[in-house]
Parts: sequence; structure tokens; C-alpha cells
Amino acid sequence: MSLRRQAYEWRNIVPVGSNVSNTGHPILTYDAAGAVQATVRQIDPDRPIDIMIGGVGNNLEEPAELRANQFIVIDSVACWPISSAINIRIGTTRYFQDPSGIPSAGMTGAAMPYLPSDATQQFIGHYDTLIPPIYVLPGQAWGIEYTATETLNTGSPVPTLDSEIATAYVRYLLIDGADMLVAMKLLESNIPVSAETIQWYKRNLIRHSLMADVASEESLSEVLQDMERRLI
Amino acid sequence: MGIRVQNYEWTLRGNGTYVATDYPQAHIQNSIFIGDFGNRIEIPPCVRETEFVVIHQFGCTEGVLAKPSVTANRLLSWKPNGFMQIVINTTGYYQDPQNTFSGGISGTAAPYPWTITDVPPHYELLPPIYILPEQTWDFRFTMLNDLRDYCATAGITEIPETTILAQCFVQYHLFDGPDALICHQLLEMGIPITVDNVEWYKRILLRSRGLDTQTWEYYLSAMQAYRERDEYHEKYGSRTRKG
Repeated sequence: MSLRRQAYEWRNIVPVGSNVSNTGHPILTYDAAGAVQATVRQIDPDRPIDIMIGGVGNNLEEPAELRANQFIVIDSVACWPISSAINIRIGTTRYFQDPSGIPSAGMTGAAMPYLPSDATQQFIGHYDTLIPPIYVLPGQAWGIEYTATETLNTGSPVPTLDSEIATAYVRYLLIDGADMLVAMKLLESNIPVSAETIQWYKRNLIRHSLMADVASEESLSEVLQDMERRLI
Repeated sequence: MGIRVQNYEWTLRGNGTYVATDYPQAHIQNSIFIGDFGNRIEIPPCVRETEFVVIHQFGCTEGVLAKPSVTANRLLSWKPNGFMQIVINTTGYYQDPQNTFSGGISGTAAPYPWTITDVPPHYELLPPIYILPEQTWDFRFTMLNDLRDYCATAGITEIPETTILAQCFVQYHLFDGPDALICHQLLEMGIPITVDNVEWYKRILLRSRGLDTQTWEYYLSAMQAYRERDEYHEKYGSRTRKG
């Protein structure tokens, strides 16, 4: 499975008494009245939180880093609520910056909303996909930073609606194995890396190989034509 | 019937008088085909020698918080907080950024059912997944809202059959017979397997009228024809490879 469409989702909801769930999304339990026994943690404004290892919500045990045989193409990010923003970090560089060249909070939830099912307003957003997409190369570390533009969930309350849970979402194409080599080849040739261009390149490889085989067959026939035949 | 679009819907409903073991545990993956809960089939999905499967869409019940609705100890509604993972033979399709097996895609990213008030799903299965002959495949559903714990805590005595606790949906193309062979030819040539491309390849096979189609020259001409067709589509914006 060399080309796989992956997605990672972060939610700011953790069992009561903890800040983080290091084993992914936590199991949510409920009391007799139907209230969830979990809280949404208070998020202070203008303090970026890494959604993978930031110590809030569901986290991973180690930072995201590509192996030597992996290449990813990030083509969509989204977050909620609209008073939040999301930025992509590759190594130590932030992708989104303001017009003065200083890294900004990133793309806002209003521009790329990750709508919960019970949102009262249906935001469509300005973007569905990032154009051009972002490439993360083999060996590079990457992360997604979530920043609230105002204080969210003051006092870390128990949520009653999905729309009270801050969320972030990233969708990417994971390319590994032989396809990663093709992706690097496309990158060297300045051809956009996508599932379609990788398949196109592989088709060309096969076609050129066939052409070479046909040519060698023809030249072999020409050589054999002039040789004297003998009886075995 | 060489090419068929197929659907499978899995529904977990209430089973009347509450018995904990009738419902899945939280954070445990259950097959929607041959699991112990909800509707099921008897034989695990396995692609036969004469078949080829392309999975291109799926989804499950959306929502994070369970928002249970209870009347007289009867549970009338529940949101599962579900995730779906695809397993082919023994390999999980979804992995998290630290390269370990993950729960998969949430119902928020790929909702089912999809109502008119929903915005388009964030997750799309592009490129689609090919399941080759002799491979087994499965969809595993994980519920993260602890239904058993809640029922014990709230003293639930009944979950009526009208209560839908979770739903999953899978849509795929099933190619069989000669069309499955064409899928293999396309796969060898690196051409995406779609209904449109299989039909196109059949047309060029018919045009060859009994000529030897196993030669390099034939492969080459087929690939060149596909290239020209692809360029034509891009130029004139007609039906695309995605079909």
C-alpha cells in the first residue's frame, strides 16, 4: 500500500483530571444524567499548541517525523471554532506568515472550518484544499500548531455540545516505498507531486521500458537477419 | 454483470431488554462484516479469483458526545463517537503520524448518513483502494463512547430496536469475469482502475478484433492511446480519469 490517504484529528477533550490522552482519542464515559465525564481544557489566546505532542487533548507518544522511505503531501487542514487558527510546521519553519514575514497563527477556522455536527451556523469556508499542497520530505519532522485567537473554554468546563470542543484536522497523502522514489524524481523535475502524477510517471516508465524492449527486439532481428544459418 | 457498484450498510440497533454483551466495548475494534454486533454476513469479504474490488467511499455516524436520551430507563438515542479502519489481509490502511496502527477516520470527517445541512465531508478516499484477487478485506468500527458503562451507571433496562446506536456505510465497485482481467491489464500498465477506464479498454480490445493482444507492441499502443485520451480529456474538460 504505497499511496494512502491519511487523516489526523485532534480534539480538546480529555477525561476529568487530566490534560492529555497520550494513547490517542480517549474513551468517554457518562454519568447517570448523561453528562460526559470529561472536560474541554482552557486554551489561552495566542499560545500555539502542537496537536500531536502539545500536552493538550489526544496526543501521540512521539513527534511526527518521516522515515527514510516516506514522503507526504499535506493538502487540507481545518479547525474549530472559528476563533482559532492552524499553522503547519516543518522542521522549525512555520508555513503561514503575515505580510510582514513574521509567522502568524495561520489559517483561521472561519476560512477552513472543521464543522461539528451540531454547529448552529453552517460555515462553508473559503478553502477545501491547500493549493499548492505542502510537501514533507523523508527525514523531516513536521507538526500542526493550533492557536486560539481568544480564550477558549474558560475554566475547563464539561462540554454539552460538540461545537464546544476545539478540534483540528489534517489530511495528507502518505507515499512510501517505491512510490516515494517516484515522488522524489517528480520533485527534482519540478512536477507537482500527487497521486495522479505519480501514476502518470509510472505509466511513462512502463511505456519507455516497453519502447526499449521493442527497439531491442527489432535490432536483434536485424542482427540475426544477416547471420548465416546453420543446422544444429 | 461485469461491473457493479455495491453498497454495504452496517447498523447497530437496540436489542430490547438490555444485556451488556449485546453491545460492543469501547475502544475495541469490531468488524462490520463478521463482528459479533449488528447485522453481519457469514463469510468474511474475500475477493475471488475472478473478481477485483475498488473501494471508493465510506462513512459512519458522526458526533463526539453521546447525548443520550432516556425515558423510563429506555435508551432512545446515542451517538457512538466512532472511527473506521480498513484492514487488507492483516495490514491496517490508516496509521497515525508516528507510524502506528490508528483507529482510522472519524464520523466527523466522513459522516454517514449525510444530510442536506451537512457541508461536504472533509475526508475523501482518493486514490481509491484496490483489493486484488485472493485478498481479504474488512472495515473495523471503533466506538469511543462507553455504552456499557453508561447503561450500567444510568440503570438502562431496555434499548428498543428503533434506537440506532451506530451506522457504517461502504461503497465499492465490483469487477468480475472478463472485466476483472481488464482491471489487471490496467494495473500492469499503471492506468487508474475506474469504470470509465475499463469501458475504454474494452472498446480498444474490440477494435483489435482478434489480433494478438499480448505483445509489447499492443501494450505500447494501448498506453499511447490512453495518453492521447487523457490529454484530450484535460484539453476539452470532458469525462476525466476519475470517471
